Amino acid sequence: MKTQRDKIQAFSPDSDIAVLKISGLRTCLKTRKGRLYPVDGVDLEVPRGQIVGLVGESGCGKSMMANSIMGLLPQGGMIEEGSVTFCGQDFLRYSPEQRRQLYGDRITLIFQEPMSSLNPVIRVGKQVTEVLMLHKQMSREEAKHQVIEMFRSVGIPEPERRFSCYPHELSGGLRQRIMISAAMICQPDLLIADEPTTALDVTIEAQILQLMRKLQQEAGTSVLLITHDLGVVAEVCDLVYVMYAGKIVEAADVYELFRNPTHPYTRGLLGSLPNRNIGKRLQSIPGTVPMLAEMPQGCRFAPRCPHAAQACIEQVPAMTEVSQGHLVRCPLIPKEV
Amino acid sequence: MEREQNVLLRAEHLVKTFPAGRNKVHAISDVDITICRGETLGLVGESGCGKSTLGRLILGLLRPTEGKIWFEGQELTAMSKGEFRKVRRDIQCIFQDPYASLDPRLSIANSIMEPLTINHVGTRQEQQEKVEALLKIVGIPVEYRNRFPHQFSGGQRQRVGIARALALNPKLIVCDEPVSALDVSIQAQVLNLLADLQNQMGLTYLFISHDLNVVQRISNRVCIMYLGQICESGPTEEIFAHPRHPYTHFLLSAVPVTDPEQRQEKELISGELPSPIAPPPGCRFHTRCPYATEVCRTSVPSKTEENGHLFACHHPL
Repeated sequence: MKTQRDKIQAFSPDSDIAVLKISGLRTCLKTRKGRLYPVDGVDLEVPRGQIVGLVGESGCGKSMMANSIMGLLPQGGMIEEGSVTFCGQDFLRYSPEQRRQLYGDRITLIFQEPMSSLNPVIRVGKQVTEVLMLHKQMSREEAKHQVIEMFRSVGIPEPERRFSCYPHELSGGLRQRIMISAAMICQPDLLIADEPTTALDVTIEAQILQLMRKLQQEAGTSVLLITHDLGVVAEVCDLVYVMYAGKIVEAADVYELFRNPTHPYTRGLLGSLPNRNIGKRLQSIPGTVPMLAEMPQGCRFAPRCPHAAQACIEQVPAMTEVSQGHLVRCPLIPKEV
Repeated sequence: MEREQNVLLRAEHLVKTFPAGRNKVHAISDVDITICRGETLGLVGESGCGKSTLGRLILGLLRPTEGKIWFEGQELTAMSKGEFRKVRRDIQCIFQDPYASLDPRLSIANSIMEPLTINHVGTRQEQQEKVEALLKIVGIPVEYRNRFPHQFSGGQRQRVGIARALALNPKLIVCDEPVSALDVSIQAQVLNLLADLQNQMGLTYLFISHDLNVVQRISNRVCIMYLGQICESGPTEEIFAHPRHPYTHFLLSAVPVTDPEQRQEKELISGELPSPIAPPPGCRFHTRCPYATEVCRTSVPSKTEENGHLFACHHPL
């Protein structure tokens, strides 16, 4: 076991290799309705030290993708195709034991609702201490000292007192700070944050986003930030992937995406934001996200797309590069949409 | 003067406390509110500030501990149950989660018809016609009338909820977080629908939301709530452009920008909402306010009015 651990730690942390590289990932769910594909051929890359946003509406498969990476698929779920490499090594080939060594240490996860990820009957300090004792082989005393320091740096007031609180004694914002401490205390290479601020009020959300950005810069962690909120993306992300019905439809750096949104879905999402184009009518996207069992042939956005042509219904569009690093999955590109 | 005649609903010195063991939760403390005909009044605040409780007091779902509410000049708080039921037809509500507010065992047509049946409006035939007309108004195909709530998506269910609220031709609709559970593209559909209905039917909305972007878009006037009190109110544009209360200022600056080129270091307020069981004395915001002085800790700020813009602060911005 010791040798496995050494091998995993032998990654070159300062190389240019992307921390996370997903190619052609296809996740299958076996249900009574047959095989469903909530994630269907996703390519995604998280470069070192960057915050990558994955945006989409509910049901587009973004959480399923995080769960595929973290091995948290529900009963009947499996990765059917594709590869996931972590720091250049094929992650899917790892044994469960090898993966467990990475989770919580090199790859960590934050969920939307901290109450459901924290154990309600264990004091929060102990829950974070365990991470250090397990992965860094620290003694309880050393670990406690470091956890209190971490609590202080994530802005938890009176960290010594909070150390021995139970999760229900803390507010939503504080609980999320505890989760962030647990996720960041080992200075991971990759943090996957699944809607980390969705359950929080706007003032607390701004505090948490600022904190994530600060810790990420200090520790050099790469972040995959999953969200439905384009505002959050605009605030903190470097790169953005837009996901719709199990596929990535547009990918670009954040400035490019907001300046030149190209896919009709991305444009629709931006047009739906209530604080843009004040005074004009909101440009809503008609219809809803298709059910997994009723995926349209061809372009999956075609039934809701104002520009849909015959070509969109017939052929599955490929990703096209419209400018340096800006990829779009639309059959009408590069023609003017 | 003109405004006085236009007042649809007015509440003065509303107080609502809930028992909590030996203590009391001060959910609403001395709130005045005026809603004019045909306007949308936005009510914004963080969770736990009492905005939903205020909505429930207006709907008569809760009785105020103190204070009075008038609707079209009649005092709701002094009415008998029977009288109130008649007036209550004019005040309807839309909630956040239509799945929780629609009976899962009633088809949507029956759900929408229920308020008509209860209030004995029209014959069966007329009621059915009304239901069809309502479905058309909210954009649900009439063929779906016999389907059940679980067969619809979240956005469609919210449309059914809206149709049901419209059934009795109300004058005031209390919308409690009507779009918070919806995806942004669906949220835009529902917001457009609410705006259209207001234009067509001259409705008045009390729009309760934690989402400042949504409130800014839909409201004519805004009230900002903090810990059971309204700290600032006034015309939407005025409040968003020139907030006078520090809390409003920090709340607005916390809203994510939707343009990465406008990213900037934010001025954030530290800390979280104090407990409503023991609200801070003086100005309730002083525990988090960077401008707080001794006077803020001891005396409750009175309201200042400037051109319809009201704020309660000792040191306005």
